[in-house]
Amino acid sequence: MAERFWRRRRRVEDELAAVFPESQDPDGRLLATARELRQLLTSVEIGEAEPHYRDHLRASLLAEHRARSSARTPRRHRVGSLFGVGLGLAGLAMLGVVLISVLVLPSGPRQVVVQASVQNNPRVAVNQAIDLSFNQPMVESSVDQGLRIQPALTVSTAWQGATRLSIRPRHQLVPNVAYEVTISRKAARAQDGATPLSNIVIPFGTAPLSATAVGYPPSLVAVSQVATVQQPTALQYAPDGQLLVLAASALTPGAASPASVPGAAGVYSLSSPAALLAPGAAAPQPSPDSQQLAYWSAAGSSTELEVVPLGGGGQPQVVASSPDSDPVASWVNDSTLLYSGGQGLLEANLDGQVTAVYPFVKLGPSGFFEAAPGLTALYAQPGGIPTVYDLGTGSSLQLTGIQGVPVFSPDGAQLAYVALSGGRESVVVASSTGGAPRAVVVAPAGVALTQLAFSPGGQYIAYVATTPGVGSQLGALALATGASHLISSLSGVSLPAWSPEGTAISLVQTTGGGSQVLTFQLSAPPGAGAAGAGAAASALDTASTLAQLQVSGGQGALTAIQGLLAPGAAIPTSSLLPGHFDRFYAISSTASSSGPNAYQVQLELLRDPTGGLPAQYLDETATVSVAGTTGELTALTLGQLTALPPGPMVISATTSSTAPGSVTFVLQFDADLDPATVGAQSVQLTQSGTQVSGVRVSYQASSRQMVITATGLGSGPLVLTVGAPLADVDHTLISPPYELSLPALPTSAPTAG
Amino acid sequence: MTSGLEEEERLVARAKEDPECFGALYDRYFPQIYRYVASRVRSREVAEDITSEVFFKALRGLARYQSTGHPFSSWLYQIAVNAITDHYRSQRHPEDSLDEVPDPVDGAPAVDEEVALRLSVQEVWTEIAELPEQQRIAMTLKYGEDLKLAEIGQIMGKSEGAVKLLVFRGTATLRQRLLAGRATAQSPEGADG
Repeated sequence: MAERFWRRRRRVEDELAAVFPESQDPDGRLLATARELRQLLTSVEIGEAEPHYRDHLRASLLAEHRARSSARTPRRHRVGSLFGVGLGLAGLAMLGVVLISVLVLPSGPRQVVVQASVQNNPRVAVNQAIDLSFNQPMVESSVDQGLRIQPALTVSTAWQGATRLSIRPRHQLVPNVAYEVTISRKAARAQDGATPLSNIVIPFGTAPLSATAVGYPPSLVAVSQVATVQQPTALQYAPDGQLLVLAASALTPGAASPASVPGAAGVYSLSSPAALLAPGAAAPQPSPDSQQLAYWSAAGSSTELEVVPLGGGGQPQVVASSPDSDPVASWVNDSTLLYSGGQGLLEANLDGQVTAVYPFVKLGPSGFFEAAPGLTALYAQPGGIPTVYDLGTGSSLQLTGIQGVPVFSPDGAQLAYVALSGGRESVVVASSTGGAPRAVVVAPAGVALTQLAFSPGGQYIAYVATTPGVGSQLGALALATGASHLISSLSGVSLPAWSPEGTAISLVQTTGGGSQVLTFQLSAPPGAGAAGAGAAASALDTASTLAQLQVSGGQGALTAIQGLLAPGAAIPTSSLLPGHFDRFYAISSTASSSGPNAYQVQLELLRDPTGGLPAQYLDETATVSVAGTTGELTALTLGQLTALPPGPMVISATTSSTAPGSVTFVLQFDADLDPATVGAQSVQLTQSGTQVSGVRVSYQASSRQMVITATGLGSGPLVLTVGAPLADVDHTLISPPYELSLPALPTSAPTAG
Repeated sequence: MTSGLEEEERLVARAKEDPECFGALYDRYFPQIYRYVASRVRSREVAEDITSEVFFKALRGLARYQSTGHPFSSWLYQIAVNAITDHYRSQRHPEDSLDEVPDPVDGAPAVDEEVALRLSVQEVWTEIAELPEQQRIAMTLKYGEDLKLAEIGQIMGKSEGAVKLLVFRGTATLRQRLLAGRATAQSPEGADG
């Protein structure tokens, strides 16, 4: 198919050369003009026709066709009238043959035609079923056998009356993917033997990631079960991505028996298997470096603030005690804690020495407070009055109409809370230091909003919406626009916690059968929530802008791309084919060896299959120099525009390091993988040219993510290659292999893709 | 390619009787015909009207359609070209429709220093609209739609050689006019300031 593209290009070139032969265009200027005209006019952005108009016109045309066909039918009856005026015997004999043919000989089977709910829809919801409707009863087993979806998915099929087929993917579709459902002509067999004219091909796509940009909250990609827990009261991520739950017991999948502590709650790490970190704990807080866990533990009439290693194994170290009924602690840095100590708000180091007091802060009798990240502000309820303190100036302001406990944005500058007004609840955002509060979202009457949680990037707020008769469900809103939606229809949910990179929310779902911790993978935009990966995320943003301009095309695309270039940089803009693509993946953003602030971003641009033409892709590697939060393109390496091969494809890759000498790659695939092919045999990791042994590979089917971990590494450059025998569930091998190079071990924060 | 044409011929033959087959032809060619019409009229409403006209004319004339060895799309383009020409003839100021084309970013740097000539889309559309009708049709089908010279000839009812000449002359005229316009713009009198 790639050959077809180049053949067409050669044909166009040959024809232009024929129009402008050297004899008549000796300096080649007209030919150059012709080439540019062609490029300019074919890249002009012409809006797609409105689907409604297109479908309406089609229906009108077919209706007229049918009307014309039926209007022609009465001609046959005129034969009778001819008979009436008298025919010769020969004519009578011929008429007899015609009549016999019409009345006795069977007419040919009616051609199979199918209509699909998703046909040509580029924004199908990830949880939508693919419903097909045939114009006649089909041989169901034959259709089932001939059914293929690319990228490959594991699906179940359900028939209704041999004409309606519902195809349900086992796991939800992946956002921003062009799918094609195919049923071979032979397999699409009707019960009377009819077949379609050609293979049935139903293209459709899921909404691209750009649709989930900052202005719109992310959507659900996949759900996975993390653990079964009893009596959960808190759920949170440590900065390194470790998921912690405060519960009476925890059982991770595959573990023989639950970790538990009799008669008391404890903090469990939900790494597999679940591990008890702190028995009898309350209000746990992991340290910023994820090395320690602070929590409160009952000790006689008071409560002690203790610290244990988050990795487990160490003895608790008592830092302070408090007579408050509901004391809280918050890390100031890796060696200092802020806590409610009976007399008020105090700071102490891990040796228990009080290092600071905040006399102007009045806490309520419970000792409860909520500190803003960076300790710029603090929320407390002295005398039951909701109050926000500016810890820098000592000033305070009182909040009115607030329901529940507010939350601070990750930068500490904003405060979000639920307010009640006119009998309806709303999410309100205000500056932490005052300023007019702004209602971002107002819930329908009767719907309660609780448990707000800022995303790590601060663009979104997750919340729990409780509707009478429905239960509590997870929603999210975008602060910039106020756009909101329910992320999932699952009810009975509570305790939402964003993952550190902002690409997932974990929560507790409680039903009659107990409680379980679930993780919702989200379609977050590239880099949107990459907390701590600032420069890599900036590079990713710059490269994504380049790719988005290539997808958008239009008159200003090349000019705008020019604006992304660093001074003196030159990239082959004439090969960028603006307007030729339908979607892109910003796969990874990793440090580049070309400079201290340079990053390499892997991009893949795709053109969806249309009109019998196959899907095509173009690989690009952008080198981006980052200064502050601004990135500039310094170089771009382009692959060849090629027909997209079948088989699984990596559409996102993140790297992180959770401990010295370790590296973790998380690869997101667009297809369901064949689990038998997932393993070390498909993965090669080399450091400084030498193969790394002991690489661990796991695969989470529901999110289509492969996790590759290696430890005991040195400091040399790493190259990860994922190739055959890795295959999708249709046994199609990955091709070409995916490769990712790192000049050195990544920093601890994920460098997102 | 031959097998593709043969398959299309069979589909067209069936479409004369079978509405669903006509629907398949519609699905195949609607995007490119709509795109072509929209690129010429620059108005969604007019583009929809003309595209509807093209397909209804095709449906009504399908019984008389006979394959000439060219793609079915050539016939549809032929109908579209005539419909667009009729549309502009019915307008007092056909060039008005080009005014809606947005200008590229003012003062933006050159996109690619290696190309022979700097063009902007608006300039090109304006100048193409000024070309004689036959040159205009040949130019848009060649550069805008990437059609083969033979296909354009089929659409316009001309020989391949005649189309070559139209494209050659149209390009030469266009280049001359664009260069002249650019020279004026770069002279002190023509500069913006």
